[in-house]
Amino acid sequence: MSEETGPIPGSDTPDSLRPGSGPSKFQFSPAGQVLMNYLAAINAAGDDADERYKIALAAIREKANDVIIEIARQENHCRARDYATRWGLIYAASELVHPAALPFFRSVVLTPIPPEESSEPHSFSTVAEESILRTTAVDGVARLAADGSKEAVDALFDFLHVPSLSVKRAAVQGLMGVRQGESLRGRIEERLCPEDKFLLDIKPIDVRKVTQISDPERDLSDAGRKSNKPITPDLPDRAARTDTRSGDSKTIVQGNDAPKGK
Amino acid sequence: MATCTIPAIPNKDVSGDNLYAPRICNQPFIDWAWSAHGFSKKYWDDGFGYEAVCNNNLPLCRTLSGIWLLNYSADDYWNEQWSNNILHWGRRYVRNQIDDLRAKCGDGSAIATAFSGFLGIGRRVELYLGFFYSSNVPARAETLVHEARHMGGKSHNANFPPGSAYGAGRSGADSSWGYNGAWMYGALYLWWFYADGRRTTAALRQSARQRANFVIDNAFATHPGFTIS
Repeated sequence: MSEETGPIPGSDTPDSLRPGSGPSKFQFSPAGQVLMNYLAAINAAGDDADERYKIALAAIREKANDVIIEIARQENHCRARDYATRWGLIYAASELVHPAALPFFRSVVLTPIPPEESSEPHSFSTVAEESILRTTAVDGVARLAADGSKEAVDALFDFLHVPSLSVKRAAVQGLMGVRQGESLRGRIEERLCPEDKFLLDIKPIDVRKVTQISDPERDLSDAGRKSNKPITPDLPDRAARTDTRSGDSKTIVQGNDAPKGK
Repeated sequence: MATCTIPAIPNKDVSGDNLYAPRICNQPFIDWAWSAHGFSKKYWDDGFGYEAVCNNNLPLCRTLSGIWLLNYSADDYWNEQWSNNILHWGRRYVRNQIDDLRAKCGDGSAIATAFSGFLGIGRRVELYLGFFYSSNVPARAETLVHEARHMGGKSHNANFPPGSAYGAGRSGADSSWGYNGAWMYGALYLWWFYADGRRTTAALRQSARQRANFVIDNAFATHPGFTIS
């Protein structure tokens, strides 16, 4: 992390950023290489992105028993604060949809969340990031449970004791999502402490059914309401099709000190 | 002047930076985004990326990636009518509210702060190392939406509830979903991105779902009573 930080927020003085050390070089096992290929493919772009992803997914599933060991090894070696990489590894494990991943998920979820390291959790919370890793793992277990794994159902019950509201909520949702999940309601209720029983009443819904922001323009400040900035430029494919646009949609910006891309 | 060091950079395939960086490296977009959000060279050079705007190891590129996602993730992104959903007009709200966007070191983990013109500090949004290097691209877009809502004059109005991972009893929560505060804006944006985001990937949409559910669970004094299906 930063070495010489800690200015007073709101200071008008510009700051300076220095390069850090380069990325570490790893030697990967065959399973590790397959895993790296998968991580490179999950957010790939281009016309062949879907095909690349399918091939990479098939490859990790083909070696699921070895890949899950590699996932656990790499997750264990990640810096604790490398949340993006750790999340990608847990997501990869969930995409295996393989019972071999269950011990790894258990380990992730049942490892106690370290105490908050941030002095201002509203801005950044290590507990939040750790919780998101765990709910992703819980959802991985829920997929196995939905596929009929009794061991996965047992794990979800165990997660009801984890002292994290989000983990418990995800576990409840996972249990209610299995076939005949409603029949588990009594057992779930028994495991939850009184203040958490409301989790049984939380409904999974579609975003179209949730209360929206009815009049966002009203939520603007006076200055924001008067703002008259040009709208976003069209992407090249649309720009090529629409050579004339209305006056308020001009996007040409001139005379600023914007950096040069190339 | 504070001096800080670029931390170890998370996997850029997983964070989405390798997906979005080539997209921002487009001069018309750079020119527009620079002007529309009030970037200035003074706060974005000296290591923050002004001299290498397409370098996705540096803060400027990583910020523009969040702005790109915010602007082009609706199928019909050119339709930013207020009557549509936040996936469409979120970008409009952000650019209307943010006129001065600055890169700063912060304390090493802090994400961002909105200064809405009180206490003698001019209106602006500051972005810190945590924004550039701890957040993936969808989370950066969510932060811009969250801070823009503060710039719109909406402060948090409650303490975090018992069991909240943000610290039970601490200030910084919104009282309810219906308060229409910064947490609701951010979560709703992520939720729409998960449900209907385009020009992105299933993995980034899933990460948005996890983050939105976390906010729904922990950032409201009264739990909204729903979760993302």
